[in-house]
Amino acid sequence: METYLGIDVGSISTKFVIINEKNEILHALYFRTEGNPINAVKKGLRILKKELPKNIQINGVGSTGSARQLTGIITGADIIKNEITAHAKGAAFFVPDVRTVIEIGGQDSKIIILENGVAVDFAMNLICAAGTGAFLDAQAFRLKIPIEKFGEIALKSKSPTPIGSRCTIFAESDMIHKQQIGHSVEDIVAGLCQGLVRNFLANIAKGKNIKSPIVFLGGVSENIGMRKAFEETLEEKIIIPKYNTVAGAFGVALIVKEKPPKKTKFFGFEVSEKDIRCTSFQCKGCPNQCEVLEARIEGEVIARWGDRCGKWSS
Amino acid sequence: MKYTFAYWGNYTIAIKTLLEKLGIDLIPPEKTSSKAIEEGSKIAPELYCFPLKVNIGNYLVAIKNGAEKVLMVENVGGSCRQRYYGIVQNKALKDAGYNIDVIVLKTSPKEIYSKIKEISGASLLQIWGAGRFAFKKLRLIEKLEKIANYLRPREKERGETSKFLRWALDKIDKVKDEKEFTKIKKEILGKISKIKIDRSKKLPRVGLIGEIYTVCDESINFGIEEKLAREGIEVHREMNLTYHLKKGIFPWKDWQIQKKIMPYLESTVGGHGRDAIYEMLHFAKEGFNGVIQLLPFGCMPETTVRPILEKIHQKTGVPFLSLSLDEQVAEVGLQTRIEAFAEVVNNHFIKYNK
Amino acid sequence: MVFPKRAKLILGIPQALFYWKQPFFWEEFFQNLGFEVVLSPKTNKEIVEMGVKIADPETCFSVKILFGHLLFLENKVDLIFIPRLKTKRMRSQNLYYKSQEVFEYCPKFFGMPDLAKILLKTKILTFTLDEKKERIEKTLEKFAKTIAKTSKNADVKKAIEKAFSVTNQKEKEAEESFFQKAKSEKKKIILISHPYNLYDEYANIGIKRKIEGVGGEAIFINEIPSTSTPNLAPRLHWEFGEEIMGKINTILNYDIAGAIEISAFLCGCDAVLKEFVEREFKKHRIPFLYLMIDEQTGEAGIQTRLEAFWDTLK
Repeated sequence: METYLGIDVGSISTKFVIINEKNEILHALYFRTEGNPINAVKKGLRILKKELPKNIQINGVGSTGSARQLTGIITGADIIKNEITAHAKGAAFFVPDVRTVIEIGGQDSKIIILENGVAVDFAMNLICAAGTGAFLDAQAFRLKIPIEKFGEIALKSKSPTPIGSRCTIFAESDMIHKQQIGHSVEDIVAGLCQGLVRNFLANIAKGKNIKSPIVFLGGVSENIGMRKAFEETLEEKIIIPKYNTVAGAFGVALIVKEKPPKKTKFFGFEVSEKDIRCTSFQCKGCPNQCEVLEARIEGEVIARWGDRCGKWSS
Repeated sequence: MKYTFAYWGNYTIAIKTLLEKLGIDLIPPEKTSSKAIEEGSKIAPELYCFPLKVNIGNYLVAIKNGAEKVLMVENVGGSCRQRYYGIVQNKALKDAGYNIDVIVLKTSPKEIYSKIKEISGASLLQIWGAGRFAFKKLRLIEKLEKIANYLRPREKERGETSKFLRWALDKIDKVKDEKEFTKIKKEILGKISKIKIDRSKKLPRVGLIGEIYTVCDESINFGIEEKLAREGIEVHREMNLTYHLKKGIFPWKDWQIQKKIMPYLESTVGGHGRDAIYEMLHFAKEGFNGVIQLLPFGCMPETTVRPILEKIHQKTGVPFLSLSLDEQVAEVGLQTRIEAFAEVVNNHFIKYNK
Repeated sequence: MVFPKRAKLILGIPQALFYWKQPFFWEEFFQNLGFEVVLSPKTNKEIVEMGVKIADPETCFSVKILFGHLLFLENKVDLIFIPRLKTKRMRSQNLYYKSQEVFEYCPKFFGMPDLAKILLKTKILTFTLDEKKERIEKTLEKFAKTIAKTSKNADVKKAIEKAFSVTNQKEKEAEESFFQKAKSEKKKIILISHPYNLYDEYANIGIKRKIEGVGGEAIFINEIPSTSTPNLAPRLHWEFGEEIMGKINTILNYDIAGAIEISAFLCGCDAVLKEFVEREFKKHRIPFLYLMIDEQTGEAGIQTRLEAFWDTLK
């Protein structure tokens, strides 16, 4: 069977998607990166090798996510694409006339505005973790409730507690305060969702022309409390497609499939069994002093990147 | 007495020449590194704008290299925090225990003349000569920067233009007299025209606008022009040192700008706030496929006009990206946004140019 | 200017930013010219939230508050007043200083009417005050003639005079209250900030009440009589920095226990001013506390820091 592989390695989670010629998802993986993208990539490849039927043939591989460069290099990907384009692609497949994509992942969140299936405007946060999955994780931990239950609990609230949510630290102290004066967990959880949505709209989506249909993606879209908070604030229906958490990996798989390589550069699933290391050094060649990254498989240098002039990367 | 000054992109070369020709004993600043930014930010007032912190970082490196005094040019009027740079930097250095003076040069010809005379003892003729030579270097540097922006996205061998530019800048830096300079100029312009490019390519165009320091110094903006070129984009930038100097001498440029932007803003807001609007309107009218605004985080003039730029973006449909830079911004994040923006720019290009 | 046909036009004035530079002046001025004046309410949570949502995230808290007030007035009035304040000559009791010192407003004030036009649908009423070019009386006279129902010179002049007399009265009262407070037995604390922070109790979390609550006497910097500007610092043209430094010079002759400077988050003028204000008090060994305010500032946090500061006072 002829297939295409999309890999999305983010700071918090890693996603693998395999699609066939009909753009159907044959297999999708979603697991934690645990701060080690190389191990995450190996783990994904190992699982796929075990779970996929033997007759599978990979015709092309695409990588995306904040570790897209590294991932692309150690797997031999044919295309390396930024996660905004990848998510736009994925969303437009599920909802062809989509105008707005909201994606909230582990450590960053973004909004993409589309026209006729292509991105025309976007914004993303990068400096601050507030308004992201990591933020919700931290609060769930503090409230001693499993993150999976977070949305469900939020839905029970009748009057959400307003919580300042610009910054993790601020939110935490405010939340403790609200707990102390007797607000219920449901109300606090719902309040956190609303705060996050407010924060997202005020900081990331500011000035963006949000139009329906709106698609909500990323790990945080699993949280029905967040969906409700978005629907209430925007007064619009929010669509969460079936493969909401792996849309970036799916998108990049679609991108490879659209322009398939004559022959894929994919190293094969076996690369997961090899010794892969990534180190860096500072180039002293010019005053730029770029930090050059170097990837080795079984001790052999396969790529260098990160330099501005191309001395090492080409 | 050994003097130093703040690094500012390729223009550093011209400033260095000017001061050397005046007979000032110089420890030239080193190219801004992330380490220098980090060190500068440590002792600079936290709430002050980013370029001030970078300047201090440059001084610290120069002090290690033996500099004893700092020269800082401050704008008169022109409501932006730059006009207090010298005095605040002086205080920050002293507070951190460095016994080093920051000499402030206010941008009025009279004051610059008397201060320079005091420091260097140079004659009027010598000052004129130094100024002329430095200006010649500056014009060539700016010309090369412009040509490079055209060549880079078209070059056949990746990285060749930037490599050539580095070689040429080094030449310009080292040449000590004007006659020699004329020869070298010829050599450089001859060689740059030999860089192999694909001329038939029609490429999407992006205009770079915003705060002058961040726009012009690639060590601050992570080489944004190169990054865009790598995405196959032709970059245009109006802002450079000559632009700024000219405006200081001929005020009518500001009147023209004001007339053009009247429907959006009826007054100066300091710095180059009005210029950003003017340039964006110009780029939009010329059918550009995108505009990028660069600014130091919290920059007063640029943040004041940003809602206006967004309005123009909505009205004209020209893709717009605003990037605020400070000591906390990481290159990785910037890279993602530039790549994604390049995609948006390409979509715009395909829609309107094909 | 074309106005809707109504007996009396309703003019909205935001009680924020420029308003506090000359409180009571504008309502008096416009009422005398035949307008019905509506002030936006004192800053409240809703106003702050509206402002934060719409303003550029990198602009200062004070501008964000102003935007909230503007949105409050939107569609409630015929016109909204926002002057373009550029420069002002120093004066006291309507007498010009000998020095004829011209101070500049924060450059963000320069573009405020233009930003408001983008933000609002309601018509903006504005004029430019630039005393480098023309005295305020003259400017106001010209401005008044373009908008007043009456075209009689005497009426316009009277309206302006009356407005000034209200301001002068208030200034006099402030000065009198200063001399009262200066005699007080309580520990005196100087509050240094711009009027729009000092008089906006919501923005500064009731700092005055809090100081009185711990048993202190709070003196606002602008209550201190102006003296000619001394050579304390470089010429701080902006936002009356020089005037503030002058008043600090005066207050150093009195017995004061401590000084608190309040800054709005991302205020560019204060980034400059703070350096010199702090130095002045440190030089005279007067305890100094720096407080930053923004939409996330918590009541509890300020209280704790104020109490700790109070305990350090002699």
